[in-house]
Amino acid sequence: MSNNEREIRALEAIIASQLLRERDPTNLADLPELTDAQRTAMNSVPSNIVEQLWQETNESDEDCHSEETCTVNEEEFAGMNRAEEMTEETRQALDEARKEVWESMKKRKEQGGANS
Amino acid sequence: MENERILVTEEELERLLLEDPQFAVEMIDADYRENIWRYIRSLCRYFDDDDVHEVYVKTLKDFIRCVKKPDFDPKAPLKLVFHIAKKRVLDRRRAKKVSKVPIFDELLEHIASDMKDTTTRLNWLLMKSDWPEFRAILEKLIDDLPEKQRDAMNAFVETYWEIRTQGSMQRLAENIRVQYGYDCTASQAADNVRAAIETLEPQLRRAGFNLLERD
Repeated sequence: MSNNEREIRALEAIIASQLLRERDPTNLADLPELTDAQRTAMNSVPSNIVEQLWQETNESDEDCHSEETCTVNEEEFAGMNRAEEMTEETRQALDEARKEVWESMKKRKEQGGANS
Repeated sequence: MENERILVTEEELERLLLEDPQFAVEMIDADYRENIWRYIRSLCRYFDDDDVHEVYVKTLKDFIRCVKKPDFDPKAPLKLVFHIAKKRVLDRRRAKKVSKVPIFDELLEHIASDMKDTTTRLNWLLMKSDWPEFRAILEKLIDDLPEKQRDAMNAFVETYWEIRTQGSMQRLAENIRVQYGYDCTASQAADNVRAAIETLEPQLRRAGFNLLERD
């Protein structure tokens, strides 16, 4: 194999390794960006999807995947929710903002839908 | 922009699952749909929008089933949602006859061997801190490749382990036929991967990732 071939093979290995590695699902920056068409498809899921599924789903459904689905082992997603370093001030601001979101979601829920 | 989003936390969801479980799932759909959707997409390069949609709905359904169980443990609900998503992705991969996901540690041996004693490897190590940016740009550049190059590149990533363990591009050609519905020989498939690399490399360089050294 020529030197050029070896260098190209190394680049292929870098590409494969970067695209095959496990991502942190809580970190959007670590997940593939959506194209406009893909985003449209995602947004086409009805906003009341949970309400619909809630009504049609029973815990005793035949195809319910018991233990295998409802149990997550400790190692899986071990890197998830890594605490970022943040100041007390930032934390308070975040808590307040979160509270606002929480209240607004509750209000929306009372008005008849979780998503709008 | 993305990191400015205020999302319901794992702890808040644990509490909410006890108080109002349906609302808790609605919160997950409202706040984490994009994370779940993009995570599902990251687990199979062949998935189209219908595949992702199906996996997403099955994930929510399975999570709801878990939540409705009398002995449901509300601890770490987001981890459970992502765990379920991964399981349903594996089901969908099987249904689409996609190769088994290799264990990453098994891949490392081939990756290390392919990178050994190359200048490209040294350049890569020097830009260590830019890896997430590299991945984001790479994903976008692959999406923008001409169709056959894009198909070949996606199939190459998905079959990298088999190509390297079998020392043949045959599986690459088979995957292109099964996933994209057109015939090509192993040699044509390899040519398309090489053409994709030739398209990607200068674009990566222009984006600041000067990895490949040639004589």
